[in-house]
Amino acid sequence: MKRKNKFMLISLILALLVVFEFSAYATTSWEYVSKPYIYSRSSWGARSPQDTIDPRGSGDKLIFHHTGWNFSSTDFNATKQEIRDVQDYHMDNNGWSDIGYHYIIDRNGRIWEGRDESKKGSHTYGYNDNIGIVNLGDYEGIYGIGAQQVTLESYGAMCSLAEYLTYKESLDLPVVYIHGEFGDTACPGRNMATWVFDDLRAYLYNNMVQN
Amino acid sequence: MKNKIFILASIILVVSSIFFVNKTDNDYDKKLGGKHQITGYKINKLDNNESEVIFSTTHAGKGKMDPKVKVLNGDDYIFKGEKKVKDNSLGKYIVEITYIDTRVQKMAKEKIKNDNEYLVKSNNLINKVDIAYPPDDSMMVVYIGCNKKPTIETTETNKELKIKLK
Repeated sequence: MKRKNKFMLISLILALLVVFEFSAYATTSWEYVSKPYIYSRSSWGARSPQDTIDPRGSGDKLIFHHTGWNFSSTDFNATKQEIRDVQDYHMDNNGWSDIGYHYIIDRNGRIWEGRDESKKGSHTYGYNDNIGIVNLGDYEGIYGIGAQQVTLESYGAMCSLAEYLTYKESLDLPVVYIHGEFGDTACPGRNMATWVFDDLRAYLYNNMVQN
Repeated sequence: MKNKIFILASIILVVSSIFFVNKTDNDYDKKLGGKHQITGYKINKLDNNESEVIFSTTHAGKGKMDPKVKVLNGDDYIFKGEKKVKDNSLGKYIVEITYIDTRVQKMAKEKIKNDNEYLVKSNNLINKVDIAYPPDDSMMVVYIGCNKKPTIETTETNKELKIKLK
């Protein structure tokens, strides 16, 4: 083969490899979204993890949960205690390394840091490389009766957190899911599921702007 | 007048249906949560080749627990904390019972934890019972360790779940 043709063939192969590499990692790039205020682990008195946790990897979903424990307080101290109770349950009862969720949203719309976001979650079996977000409260009740309603404040926090994480991680829409889509569970309760399906997904579609 | 009676009867009907639907069993622990709860457990030796594990249950409403039951080999991986490990202490065979949206009350948990020594002496089939929580906030697994490969038969009522091993 002539030298020139060899050179062109090698260049073509290299160019194809580069294009293939970029396309394999291509994700949606979004316009800037500011970070909402997130209370740190130390602010709620988190315990340190009791084991090393594997890295999270590259999950592309935000999976919503509820604690399933009826909790209606908006008080700052009561909320901190509730989050500590969740962490204690996960670590002492379940034998997990740390609280299973990456973020916690309270009834007053405050966002709290849970498990280190770079670490694998413990919230949805088979999908723990995705970010787990829990809302404090019971949104299922007994077949809907006694189920708590999502507060407007906590819905606002769900929107701002989902928007920010979508931008930061360059995730593709619809991005937000509920636990019940990955297993036969009532989590996060029918009252929250409708917010995620009907409102939060639409909010992201309407507000996220691609670069 | 007829309309008033009709309206009053409708209100009474609606309120009482809410009451009965919302009424949990007396031993349901509202603070613990979950759709179903395990309140107790015992093991009956039926004969030299048969035993049954009985979980007493209570529920937040109607609906069965319907757990998934599998028989594993003793050297298969099982859940421990967030990970899967091998656990030789259970025996040559392991019955894995996976529950969703189910929690174990404190006394039942203590009994399962403390009764293992008694178990080994009391029947020929079952070595050990253990509980594990896979990395999922709705899952719970009960492991029953055996030295012979069992066949499993489960029956469920709204008060108990029986797992017969033979």
